[in-house]
Amino acid sequence: MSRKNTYTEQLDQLLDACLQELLGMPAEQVLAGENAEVVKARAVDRLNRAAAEAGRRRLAAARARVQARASTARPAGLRISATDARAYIHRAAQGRQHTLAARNLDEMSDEDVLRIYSQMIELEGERSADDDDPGTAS
Amino acid sequence: MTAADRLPQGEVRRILDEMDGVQWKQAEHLARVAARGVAGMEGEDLLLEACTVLLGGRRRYPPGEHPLVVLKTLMRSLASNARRSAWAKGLNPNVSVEPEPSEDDQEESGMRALAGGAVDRVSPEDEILDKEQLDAVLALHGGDAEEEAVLVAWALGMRGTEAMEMAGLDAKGYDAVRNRLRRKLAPFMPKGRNS
Repeated sequence: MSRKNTYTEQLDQLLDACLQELLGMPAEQVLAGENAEVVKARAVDRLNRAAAEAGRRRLAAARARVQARASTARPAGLRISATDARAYIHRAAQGRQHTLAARNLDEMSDEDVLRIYSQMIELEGERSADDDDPGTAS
Repeated sequence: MTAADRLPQGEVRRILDEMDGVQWKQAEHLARVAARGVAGMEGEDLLLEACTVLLGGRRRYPPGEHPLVVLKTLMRSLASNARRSAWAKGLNPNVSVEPEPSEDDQEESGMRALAGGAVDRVSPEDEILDKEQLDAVLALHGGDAEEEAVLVAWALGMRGTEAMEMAGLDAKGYDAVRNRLRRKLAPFMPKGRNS
């Protein structure tokens, strides 16, 4: 039998042994005076709270990703002028590829126009990838 | 990691839902032991966090694994992370401690570490912190030398006859010590706590 002796491994092995002891106990001893139904009800409540919290964390993580993407989406690397980007967005809006209030386009700053342009390019890239993916449901 | 290595989230929830009262009580007992020595964390906190992480899909649930084994492994990891965070904050209260990374994040960072030549993922700090937590769990013996000897044998990976001999006990004595330890692992809860 190979023996593991780092503290980390000893802690793992001790917790393993504790679990084995708990699994080997009669139900009555495990319950230690509590009713199994009461324990189960507590577990259901715990799982419901855990699921709600997991959902909150997923939402917060998604928001953080969107925010990070928006803040880093400044199209510094784009080789296009704001004028050309504005024209592209205008054409896309007319072609109904994107929902956009085109009347506001001229009022937008160049930076906003370039950011929207880069997001549209990214979105179209994702659409192309989906179209190319034979596993994507149509 | 492939999709076959982890269960879908709905399946994880189904498995946890199917655990009966006795199994959940075992999980609660184990959580209390795993949380020993973690400042500001009770067993219930640890068990709730483990459920949250599992249901959130931030740790994989290996197909076919017993739910209590999965919970044990996860709670042990979460307790270590909590100790590490507390330790880092103790060194510098202003330090920003990263939240529990997902398993995918950990695998990614592990691959980066391997690519950089850093192979050993257990740091000296981890060893120190695990030593403290090990001591906290070993303290279950509460001053009983026989119980301490058996717990140390278990920590060294020994079980059964080997642990009995290492602890210097005969079969009857070993069983008696195990029974005392079992009562400490699953302490009696007065009926009044049921409601």
